[in-house]
Amino acid sequence: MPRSRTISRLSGVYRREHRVLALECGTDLCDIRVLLVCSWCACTLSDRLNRPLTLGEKILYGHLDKPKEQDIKRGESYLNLRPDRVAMQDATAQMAVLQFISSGLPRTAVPTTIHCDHLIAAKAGGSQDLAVASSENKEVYDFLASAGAKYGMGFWRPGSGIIHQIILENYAFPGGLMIGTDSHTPNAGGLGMCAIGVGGADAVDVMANLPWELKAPNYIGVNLTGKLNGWASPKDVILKLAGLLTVKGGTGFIVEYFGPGVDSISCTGMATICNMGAEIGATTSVFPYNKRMHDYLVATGRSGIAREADLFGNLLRSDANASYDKVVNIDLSTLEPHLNGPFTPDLAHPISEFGKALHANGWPEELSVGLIGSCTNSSYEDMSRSASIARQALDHGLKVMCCLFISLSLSLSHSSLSLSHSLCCCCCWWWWQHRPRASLRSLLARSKSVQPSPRTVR
Amino acid sequence: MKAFEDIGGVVLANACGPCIGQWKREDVPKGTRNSIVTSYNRNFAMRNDGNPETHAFVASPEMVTVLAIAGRLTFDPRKDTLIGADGKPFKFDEPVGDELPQRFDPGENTFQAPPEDSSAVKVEVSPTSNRLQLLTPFPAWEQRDLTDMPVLIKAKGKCTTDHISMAGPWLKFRGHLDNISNNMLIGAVNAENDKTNLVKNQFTGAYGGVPDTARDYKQRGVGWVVIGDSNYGEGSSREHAALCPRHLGCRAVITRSFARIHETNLKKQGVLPLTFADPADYDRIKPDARLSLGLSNFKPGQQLTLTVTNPAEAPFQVTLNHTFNAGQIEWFKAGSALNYMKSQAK
Repeated sequence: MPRSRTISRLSGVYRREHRVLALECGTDLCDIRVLLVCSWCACTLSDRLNRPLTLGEKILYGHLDKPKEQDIKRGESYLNLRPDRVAMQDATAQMAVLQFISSGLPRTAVPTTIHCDHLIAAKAGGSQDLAVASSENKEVYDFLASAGAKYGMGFWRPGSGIIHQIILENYAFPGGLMIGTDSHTPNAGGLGMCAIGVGGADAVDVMANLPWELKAPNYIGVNLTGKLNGWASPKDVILKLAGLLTVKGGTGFIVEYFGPGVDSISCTGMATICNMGAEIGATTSVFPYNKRMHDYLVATGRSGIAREADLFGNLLRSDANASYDKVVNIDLSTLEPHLNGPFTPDLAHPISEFGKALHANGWPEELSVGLIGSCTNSSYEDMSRSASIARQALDHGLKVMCCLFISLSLSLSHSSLSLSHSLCCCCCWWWWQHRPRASLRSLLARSKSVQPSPRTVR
Repeated sequence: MKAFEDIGGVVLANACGPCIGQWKREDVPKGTRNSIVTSYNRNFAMRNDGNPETHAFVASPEMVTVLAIAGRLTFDPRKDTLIGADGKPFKFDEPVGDELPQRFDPGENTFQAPPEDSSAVKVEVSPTSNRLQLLTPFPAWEQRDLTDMPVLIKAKGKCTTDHISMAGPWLKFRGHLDNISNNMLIGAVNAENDKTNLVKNQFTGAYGGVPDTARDYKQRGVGWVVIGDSNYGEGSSREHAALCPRHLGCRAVITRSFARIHETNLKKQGVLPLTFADPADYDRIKPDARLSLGLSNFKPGQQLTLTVTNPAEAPFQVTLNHTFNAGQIEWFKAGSALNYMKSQAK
């Protein structure tokens, strides 16, 4: 089987000097998780390169197809890599699976999952909506579900939640390398994984057991000092960085965070920062393994991985004096909340300077809609912090002055957030497009009349 | 969640929704200037609601919440106050929240594991489907220089994958290459007239949509070229941004620079992503130029020469860079990476 071959290949390469662990997983979500600690690079490869390595280098070079022959020059060589996992969302999976089918191979070579999230539209609804959605997208879902079953890919049905959140909660692990057919795949960097967004064609390569090619990235180090506090959030770290580096500044780079400030950011906050690294063009972003990741692994039922990662904690961070092509310093203690935009995410405004910029440019000051959530920002922490603000408004008898939409991304987080109506039912955008014209006001009224679903109310 | 609803918020479905353009706005007519603020990751023009006049800002969810309560973007919760229902001003306390819930509720199992033996599983794609279409391999390189190719569009300024292959309503054609190709480059701004989806057909002189014009060139058996600015193809990884141009006859995309994923995707589909050795050459190529590309010396690390013929001008030469390595050049020769993989498996 391709999967066991992968493990034995890894074992063959790594067993002599290090441990590779295949952890039996207690759930049926996946068969085996391979916790690969790339101590190999710390030994053999650092002999060859004769220099300290960054965390990203350890992870990438630990997944080289032919480590002894591989030419390694940052920004120049093409690395041939063996990722541990492939993830695809329903939109991109269609073409990737069509391509895989035309390759004529029987099963995917590495663990692969398909996630139905992108074809679902923004609406809360009940079982009736699910039926409509399923019938509208039936052809595509049936195709993906049957192709998944045929070619050995796990299939997350519509309503499961957003791909990156499922990966963070189920599949991401420190030191791992995965590719995903979505540019926000780097989200898993919040758990110390190098997760890289690719096109469907790359996914096809990996599924077909070909080495996956990546131009050896350069490295930007982000040294976080101080402590996140007050109104500043993980989001503001990346909004600030986007302003410093621009939407092109990360192209060809892996962005690595380190420094004493890292521990003041939650695991999901680190995921937010890594997720939005895509907006500065970064190949991926990654945080070093720490206690916050440990706690998150335990909370998501993966204490075995946490234990093993603890044993190799020193390898799951960059070496002392590892060289970065560029280093950026951000003091979290003085970091302000940011508003970035309009039209481009790198137009960064600390809130203290925003008013001036708004008036100078004549941007509309009145707000028509606020939207929170998405795969970038709908962690339990994000929602509870925002809810704490909403509660304060309530206590003072206030409501929103403009529409506020909340779109979440995940079953686990959802269920834990005590929703008052079923969010896990999906509705396809097609329905949304063709529904009778309704004002937002009536939509508001309608969404409030939706009956609670037994599943989500505790 | 209750707190959000109590202050008038609306909880949406468990998916990407407005973040990728799945949002049919009706509160603000298209074309009306307005501001929105999101905790999402993208805010390119028209991304969320398709309205070019929507000024989208990105902030943390707690900031979005407080701004929605205040109703204006310039509210600074650290020092500004609001008037409560009791008529008294109040200042918000800093947001607080737990990192992790007491326990995660696994909820309904929405996962389907693949069976051990899948030999009985049938995968079917209807030939009449408008959403799914099995793939036909792209033709291999004809082993000669690419000559006299029209510029389909000279894209001006930002040209992201959203401009090349728009999301939103087009998502339903993801699995149908010919249908989704009707969105190709319809968001890109034509440098000739500053308009989107309006280019001159070099054979008829008539102006038409970008996909229609490309189809016309394809029908004539003429390969074409896209000229692009800096960081062409930034944004998402969607390979349709490479597949659709390839499907409609694109041979090369020549820009000042590329975003990495898109550059690789073009290579995989057998299109040549090339960059100007001198970025100023972008300005020398007219939107209705004809281009010829010499490929006899197509090797890793070796520059290529492009001959540019602007209308009513003498031809001149431009030097182009590429990042193809030896293996990737094989993809180009075979017509696509997949063609090459197939040829190797035989």
